[in-house]
Amino acid sequence: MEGLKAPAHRQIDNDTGDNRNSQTLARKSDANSSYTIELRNVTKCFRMETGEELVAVDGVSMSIRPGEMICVLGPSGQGKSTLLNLIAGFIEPTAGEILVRGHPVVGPGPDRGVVFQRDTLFGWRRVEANIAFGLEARGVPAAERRRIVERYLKLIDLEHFGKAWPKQLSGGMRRRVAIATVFANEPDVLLMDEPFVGLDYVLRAALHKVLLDLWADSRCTVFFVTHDIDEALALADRVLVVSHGRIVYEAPVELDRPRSAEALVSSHASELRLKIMHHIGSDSSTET
Amino acid sequence: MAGIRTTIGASKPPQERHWLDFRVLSPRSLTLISFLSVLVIWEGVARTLGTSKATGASILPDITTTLSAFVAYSNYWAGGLGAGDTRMGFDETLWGATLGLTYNLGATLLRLVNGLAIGLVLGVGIGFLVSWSGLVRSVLAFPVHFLRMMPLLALIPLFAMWFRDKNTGSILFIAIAVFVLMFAATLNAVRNVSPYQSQFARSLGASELFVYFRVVFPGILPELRSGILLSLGFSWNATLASEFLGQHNGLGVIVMNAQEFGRMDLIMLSAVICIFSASLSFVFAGRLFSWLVRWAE
Repeated sequence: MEGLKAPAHRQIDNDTGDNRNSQTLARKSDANSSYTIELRNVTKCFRMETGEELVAVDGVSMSIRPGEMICVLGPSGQGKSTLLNLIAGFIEPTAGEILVRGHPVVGPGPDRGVVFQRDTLFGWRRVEANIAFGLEARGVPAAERRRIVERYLKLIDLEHFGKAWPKQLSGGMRRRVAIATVFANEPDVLLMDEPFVGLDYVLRAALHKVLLDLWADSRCTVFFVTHDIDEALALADRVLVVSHGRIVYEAPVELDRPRSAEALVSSHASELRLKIMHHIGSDSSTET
Repeated sequence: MAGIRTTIGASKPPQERHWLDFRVLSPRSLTLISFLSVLVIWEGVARTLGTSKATGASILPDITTTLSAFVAYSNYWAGGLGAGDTRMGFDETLWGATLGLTYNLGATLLRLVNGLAIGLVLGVGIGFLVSWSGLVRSVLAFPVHFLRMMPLLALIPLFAMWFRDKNTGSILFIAIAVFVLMFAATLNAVRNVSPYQSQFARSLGASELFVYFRVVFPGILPELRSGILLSLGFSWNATLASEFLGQHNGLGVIVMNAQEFGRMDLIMLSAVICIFSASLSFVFAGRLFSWLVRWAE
């Protein structure tokens, strides 16, 4: 397995070494691999309509430990979402290898839940039927489904909205339902593609709490794509900065959880924020 | 400044309205007014046009003449249920007319509903199954578009010749016309389904079959609305047209007969009944469909 490994972490400014966050203890182990997600020299090219070839992901290698929450930062159009789609199995790499719990990725599957940026709730299903979707698709018995759905409705604080149609919910509530739908399916890996874009600060903070609570409860591995540095610092065990299809920086976020507002302006956080900004590019100074 | 004040919640000063400002009226009363205006215009035009110099008959029958033509529906009742056949010498009666109208309107509706139902089920069903393959969708795009452009009404005589039983012929004709419309609408709707919902479903462990029937199918329903209402409108046209061309019962047959006997009033009354029935069917279909997709935004 190691023999296949291409020059790992090319161009990476890795100032962390093996320094690990105490919070990211191994949560799930697999006989085949000590990593939940492994990318080995993965490249993805797209052919544009003009005939040119666009290299969206350029020889990326990375390893994500079980139970780790990774935030992938970077400006739009630099390959963050492509990375996520590759791990989800929606697209195939042009070159390289992607392993999830030691097995190569072949198409999407329930072991890798995805929360999209856009609204993907099934409008024709009531909230409870939305949360039960994955369970139903996988043939979980009705009584068991009901029990799980009730539990998650409570966890996301929407106990009284089980019978509502999605169109009757606010934007923040719909996000919560989407997250609960994925968690109810108990995936090993949770892939989140800028799930909280366009929501106001208060709503975002509330959703971060929902996510962190569910994560603590499920101990799954999270791959969270965002362009918001503060969001990454609030959530991540480790941040990766992607630029032009490559990982250009990675660092652990050594802040205790739950992270207070004070912790997020501490010297460690500020230093990290500065380094991230430096690697994302000057544009990032406008990020809030 | 006044605008700013109102937006922060201060009570609006009472505004004087121009007498022509229709906003004082509720939408319902506006509908009523427009309906009454149509009646007034009808009556006015009928009286102005007067009678034809050649035949002595009125060119456009006025409202009372039209309504009193009702009793003539007795002539389209074959007798029974307490009303005799006028061809056997029985008088035209209101009861006989009611039976005659009910029977013929019923025949028309039955034809329409049968044709529409067969066409809808086959059009949406086959369109949906065929849409599974993007390749088939692309291959069929042109022929389907071609079929939509065909002057379908011109095919009625062909169907009448193909099917000895004219009733089956016209039902099949309506069904085929609706099929073409709904087949095209379904292909288009499947094309427009958001790929993100399918991806979401796949990542939750749904098989491709599960996604297609449980995500794509409900997803296309709201988009079929205009296709279904269009089909309903077309079915009305096709049903009446097929009755003009040869049936033994139906509202269209009464109209053709009335034309032969120069009964302008009966033609007018039948047209009015037709408009009412068609409008009612649209309202009903619209309500039913809205209920079916009550979840849609």
